[in-house]
Amino acid sequence: MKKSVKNLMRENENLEKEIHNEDSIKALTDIVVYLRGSRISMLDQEKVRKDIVEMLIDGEKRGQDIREIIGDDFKEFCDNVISEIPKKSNLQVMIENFGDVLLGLDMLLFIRLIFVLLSQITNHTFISAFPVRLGEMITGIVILVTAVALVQWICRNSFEGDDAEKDRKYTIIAVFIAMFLTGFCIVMNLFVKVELFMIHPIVIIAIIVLIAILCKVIEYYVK
Amino acid sequence: MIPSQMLKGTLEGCVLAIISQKETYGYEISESLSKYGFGTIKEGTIYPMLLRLEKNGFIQAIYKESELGPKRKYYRLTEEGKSNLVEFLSSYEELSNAVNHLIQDVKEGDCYEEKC
Repeated sequence: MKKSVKNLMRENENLEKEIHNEDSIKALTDIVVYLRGSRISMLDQEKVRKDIVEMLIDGEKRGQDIREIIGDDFKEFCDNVISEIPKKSNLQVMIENFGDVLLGLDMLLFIRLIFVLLSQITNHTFISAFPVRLGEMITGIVILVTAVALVQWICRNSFEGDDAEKDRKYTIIAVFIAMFLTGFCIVMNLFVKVELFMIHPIVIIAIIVLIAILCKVIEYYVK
Repeated sequence: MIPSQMLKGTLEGCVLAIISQKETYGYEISESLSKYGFGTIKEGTIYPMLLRLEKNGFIQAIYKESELGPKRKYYRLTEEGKSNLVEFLSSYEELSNAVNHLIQDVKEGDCYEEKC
């Protein structure tokens, strides 16, 4: 992410502290989440966020809440705003999504590396090649796809239902997904033990570093 | 209250007209519209319009100090905006004349106010 975007983001976070009305704060969070899922650039998202925050601060000083300033239909407001801002190209969206998947992959590899190193230390076989199994690969792919789909679903549905309903819905979904993924991981790791290849922890560390660099490059030049 | 469908085509030109009077900001525009008899038009309705006018190069945003809070975004007309406003005013006058003629004829006609 470019420095200008980061600065604007930080500026917005500080400005938001000047909003005290609970409803405005909650609605603003939903608006920002919805904007995050849109096809407008991060810089434009933050510019819009700044304008809205300033509107809310000004309005609050006049004794108005978010509904009196923006209206009752936040989704319609966001859609109207988004429609006036240039969209990211398909290629840009693809590269960004690829970057998100890479970041997730990097985290999974890091977690896997920690487990491998811990098991090697306890078995006194520190830093030796270990097998990568089909079950692990499938589990990793399923976790990544679920994570990306979940983020997109949350962004698209940020205005659905009231807060209590949303909390209840998200809790049920989170529990269901956690149970499904745990069960899926156990089954895959217990029963799908086909060894695909052997890999050395040093290679994994190199891959993690390379992916992290690639993610940073994507974040800087594309986002 | 003016029906929103009727307002749709003209509101953008009216916002441009208000900005032409002086450098102004979202809330002040909505207040001005209300004073001119447009009814309550929230900032949330005006903001996307301002983004469109800015995108089309008709207005320019500048930040100025505000007594209420953080720096406020003011808008002013660009040269392109001025020509667009002239165009809007002339088109609107044309439309308004046509509608007025029609209304006059309808009012003078036999079928107005259940005279038929």
